[in-house]
Amino acid sequence: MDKLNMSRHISGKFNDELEAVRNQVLTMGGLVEQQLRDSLRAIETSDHELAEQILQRDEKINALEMQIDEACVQIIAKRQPAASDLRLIIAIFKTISDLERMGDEVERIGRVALESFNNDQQHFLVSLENLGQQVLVMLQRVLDAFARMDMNAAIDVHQMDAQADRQYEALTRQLMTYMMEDPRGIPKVMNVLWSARSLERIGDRCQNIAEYIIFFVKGKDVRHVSSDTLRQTLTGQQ
Amino acid sequence: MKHWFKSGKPYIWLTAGAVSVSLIAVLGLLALIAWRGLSYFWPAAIHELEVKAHDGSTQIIIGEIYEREEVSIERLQEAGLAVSGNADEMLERWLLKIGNREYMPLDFMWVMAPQIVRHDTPQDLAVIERSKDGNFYGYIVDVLEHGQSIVGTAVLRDVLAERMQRAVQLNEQASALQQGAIGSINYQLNRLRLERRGLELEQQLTAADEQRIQEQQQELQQRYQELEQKLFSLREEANRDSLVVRDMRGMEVVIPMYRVLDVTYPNDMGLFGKLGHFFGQIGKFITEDPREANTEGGVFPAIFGTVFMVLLMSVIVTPFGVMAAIYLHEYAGKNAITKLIRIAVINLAGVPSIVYGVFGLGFFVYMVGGSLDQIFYPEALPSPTFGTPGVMWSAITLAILTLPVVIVSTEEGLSRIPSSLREGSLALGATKAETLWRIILPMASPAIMTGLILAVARAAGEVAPLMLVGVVKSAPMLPVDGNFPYFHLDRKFMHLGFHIYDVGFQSPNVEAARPLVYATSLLLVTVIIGLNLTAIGVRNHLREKYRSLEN
Amino acid sequence: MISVTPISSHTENLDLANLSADKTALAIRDLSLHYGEAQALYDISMKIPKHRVTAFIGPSGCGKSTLLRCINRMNDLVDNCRVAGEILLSDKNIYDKDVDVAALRRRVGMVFQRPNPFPKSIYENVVYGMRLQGVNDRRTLDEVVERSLKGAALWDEVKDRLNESAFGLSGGQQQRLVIARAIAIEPEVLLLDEPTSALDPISTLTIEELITELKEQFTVVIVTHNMQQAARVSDQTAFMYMGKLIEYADTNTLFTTPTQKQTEDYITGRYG
Repeated sequence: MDKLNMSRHISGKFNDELEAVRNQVLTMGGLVEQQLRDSLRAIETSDHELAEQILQRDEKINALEMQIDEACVQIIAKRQPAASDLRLIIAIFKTISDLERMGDEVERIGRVALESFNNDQQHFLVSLENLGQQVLVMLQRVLDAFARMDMNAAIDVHQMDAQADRQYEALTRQLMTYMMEDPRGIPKVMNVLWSARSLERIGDRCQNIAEYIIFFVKGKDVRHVSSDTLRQTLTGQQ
Repeated sequence: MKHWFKSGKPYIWLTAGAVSVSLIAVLGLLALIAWRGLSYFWPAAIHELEVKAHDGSTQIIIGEIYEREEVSIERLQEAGLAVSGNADEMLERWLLKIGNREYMPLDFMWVMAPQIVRHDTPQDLAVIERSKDGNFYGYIVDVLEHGQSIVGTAVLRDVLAERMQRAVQLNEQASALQQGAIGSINYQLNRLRLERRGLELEQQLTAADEQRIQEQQQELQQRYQELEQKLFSLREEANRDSLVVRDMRGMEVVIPMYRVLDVTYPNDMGLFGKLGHFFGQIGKFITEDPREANTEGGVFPAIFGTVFMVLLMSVIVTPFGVMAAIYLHEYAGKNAITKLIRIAVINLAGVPSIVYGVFGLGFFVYMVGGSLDQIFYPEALPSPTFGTPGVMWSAITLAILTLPVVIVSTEEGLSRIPSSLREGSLALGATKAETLWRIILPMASPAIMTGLILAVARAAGEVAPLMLVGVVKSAPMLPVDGNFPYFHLDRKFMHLGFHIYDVGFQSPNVEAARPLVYATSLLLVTVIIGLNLTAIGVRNHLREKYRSLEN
Repeated sequence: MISVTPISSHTENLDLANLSADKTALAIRDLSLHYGEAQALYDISMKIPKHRVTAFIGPSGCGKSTLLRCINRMNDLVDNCRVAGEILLSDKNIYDKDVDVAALRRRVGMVFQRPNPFPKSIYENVVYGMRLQGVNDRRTLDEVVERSLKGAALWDEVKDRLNESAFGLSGGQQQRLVIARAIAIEPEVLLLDEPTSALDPISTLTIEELITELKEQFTVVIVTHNMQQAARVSDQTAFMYMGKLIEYADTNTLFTTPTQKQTEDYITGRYG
C-alpha cells in the first residue's frame, strides 16, 4: 500500500475520490471475474438459467464503466492530477475499458452456453474448460496485482499470457480436427471456437491491465515489448 | 445602560466629542481673531455725546464707541470718581476713542452712561485719517489754499475730495522719489564709498581710481541735489492747501492737507459705502507701510518679510533635509550609530526655539557672519554686513529648526516606496544613484512636500528666535529691491509675528493698538494658511501623479 | 519502422547533465548562499539551456526565488548575504570581483511578482533602460518602444496612449509592460519571478502565451508557485526543496514520472 501513498494527499477530498474510483474498479473487476466464473460453469453444466443471468449482468458492468469514466473525467478536470496520480487515473481509464471488453467477451461465452449441445459435442466444451480456468487465474491475479499495485505480480500475469496463448493454439488445432471429422458439427464447433477466442482475448486484456499496472508503478510504457526484455528492463532497474 | 456601554456607542460619542472640542477650539479662535480683526476695518459710527458732569457743567464728546461695560459703583468710588449711589449698584460706562491726539491728553475717554444727556450721530461728522497723530474727529468747516478759503459756492465735500486727491498724489510722488531714485543714489554712493575703502585696505588705491570715484561721487551728488530740489518743491506744493475742522471743544483747527490721507463720513454712509470703505481699508492695510511706530497704516513690509523669509528657509531646508534623509535611509548602515543619529535628529525638533535663536546669534551671526565680513566685506568694517542679524541668518536658523521635520517626513516617504520599484529599476541596469534620482525621489516628493508644509507652518509662526537673528520693529528697506544684486540677504526685515508682539506690547498706546493686533494676527494666520494651501496643492498634485502600487 | 512525429508542443528533450557549451546559457556550479547564519541554498549545480524556458518549482521558502535572484545578483541588495560557488554566463563567473553589476543586469533582465511599472508614462517606462544607457534619440527610442511592446504582445492595446500613465493599465497589461521594459534592453536571459501570481487567470494565460514566444529570442527562467503553469510553459523544470535542488529534468518527464519521491509528493500534492 505504501507505493500508492493514496491517503497522503493534503486534500482529503482528493484522497476520497481516488479511493472511491479505485474501489469501484476493483468492484468492476470482481464482477467481471464472477461473470467469467459463472460462464465457465454455465458451459460446463449447460445451465441455461445461469447463462441468462450472465447476459443480464453485463449491463451492470457497462454501467459501472460509464460511472468510473465520469469520476475519472471529473478528477482530471478538478484536480489536475500529476505524476503517479495522473498515471493512476490513466491506468484506471484503460483498465476499465479492458474490463468492459472482457465483460463483452464473457457475454459471448454466455451465449455459447445457451446453445444446446448433444452428448457427442459435450467434449468440445470440456477442452474449453482448461483454457477457461487458466484465464480465470490470470484475471484473479491481475486484479489482485491491481489492488496492491504489485508490479512483480503484474509481470507474472504478463508472462502467463504466453501459456494461455499456447493452450488456445492447442485448442484450435483440436477443434479443427473435430471439424474435419464431422463436418455437420461445424456450426457448433465454430461456436466453441469463438468462445475459445473470447477467452484468449480475455487473457490478452489481462496482460494489458498488467502493463497498465507496470506503467503506474514504473512510469514506463511496456506495451509491444517482449516478455524477456520486459523483465530485464524492469528488474534491471530495480 | 450596561447594554449601551457594550454596544460600543459611548466610544463613538467619546471620540466624536474629542473631535468636536478640537474643532470648536480652532473655529472659535479663528472666529474671535476674524471678528476682532475685521471690525477694525469697519467704519464705526461717530457719536456726539453731551455729558453732564456732577458739578453741572456739560461737555460735548465726539468719538467712536470702543467698549461698553458694567462697573460697580464701589469700584468707581475707589478709583476716585465722584459717583453717588449704592455701592452694589452697577453703572454702565462707555469707552470712547476721541482721537485728536495733539489737543487731547488721551486717545480714549470713559463716559458714564447715566450722565449722557444728549446722544447723536450727525451725518456731517468726519473722520480725518492723518499721516501723523492718528485720527481727527470733527466737523469740516473749510478748505484753504494759501490760507484763503476757496469753497465759496461750491460743495464743500467735492472741493475737499479734489484737494485731498491732489495732496495724496503729491505725497505719493514725493515718497516714490525718495524711495526710488534718491534711495538708489544713496545706495550707489554707499557702494562707491565701500569700493574706495576696499581699495584703500588692499593698498591698491591709485590716483586714477581715486579720481574716478570722486567724479562718480560728484555726479551722484549733483543728481541727488537735483532730486532733492524736486522733492522739496513737491512738498511745497502739497503744503499749499489746508483744512479747517471744528473739533469737540468747538475750536476750529487747521490741518495741513499733506498730512491728510483720507476723510470719511461714516455716519453718512450706506451699507455699500461702508463695505467699499471696509475693503479699501483692508487693501491699504495689506499694501501700505506702517506709520507712527507701527500703530497706524499697513503691514506690507511685515507680510513681505514673513513670506520672503519662509521661502528662503524652504529653499535652504529642503535640499539639506532631503539629502540628509536620503543618506540616513539609503546609504547609512543599519547600525546603532544610525539609530543614534536618527534619535538625535528627532529630538532636535523638541529643542525650544529660543535656543535656536541663541545658537543662530552666537554661531551664525557672530562667528560665521563675523568671519564673512572679515573675508569679503572688510571695507565696510567696523559696521557689519553679515555679522549682524539679517534675513539670511533668520532663514538659516529656522531652517535648522525645521530640519528634523523635513528629514523625518522624507525618510517616512522613502520607506513607503515599495521595494519592488527599486528592484525594478536596478534590474534594468540602473545604479543606486540613478534609481534614486529617477524613481525614488519623484515618488517621495509628496512626502517631501508634506515635510515642507510642516516646516513652513512651524517657521512662519516662529517669532522668538527671529528676535535674536534678524527681525526688527521697523526695517527701512525691503530685502528685495531694484538695486543690484536685488536680493539683500544681509538686511534686517519685518515679520508679522514680531509685529503683533511689537504693536500689542511695545507701542506707546496699547489700548489703541489692540484692534491692530487682532487684524495682524488674522493676517498672519491667513498668510500661513495661504502658504500651506499652496504647498498642499502642490503635494496633492504630486500625490495624484505618483499614486501607485500602494493599493 | 514508421517514424512518428511527437504530438507534444514541447521541444525535444535535452541531456541536461551533459549539455554542450554552445547550448548552455547559464551554468550554476556548487552555488551556496547564506543569509547571515542561515543557509538558504546548498551546493546547487545545474545548466540552463539557451532559448528554452526553465522553471523552478518548490514549496515556499525552498530557495527558488533566491536562486533566481542570484542569477542577476539581486541578492547583493540584501545585507549579510554571502554567496559561494559560481554562475557562469558566457563562461564568465558573474560573481567575479571585476564584474559590473549594472552591466550584468542589463544582460540578465528580471520581472517581478507584482507588476511594478514606474510612475511614468507607458512610453517612458519602456525606454527607461535605454535612457539609462544614455540613448535619447527619439527615433531610436520610438523603434525600441514599438518593438518591445509588440514583443510583449501589448502594442495593439496601448499604441494610442503611449503617453498616458502606466498606472492606468490593468494588472495583466502592467505585467506585460514590465516585460516589455525588460526586453527593451535586449537581455540574454530573462528572469521571471512568479510573474503571474498577482494576476487573474486570463491575464495569466496571456503572459504564459507570451513566455513561449519570448524563448525564441531569450533564455527564460521562471519561478512559479503554480505547478500547472510550470508544466504548461517550461521545457525544463527544477524542483527545489529546503534550499536543495532535488530534481532537474525535462518538464515532460518531471510531471509524469519524477524519479525522486519528494518531487512526486510535491507535484501530486502530498504531505512532504
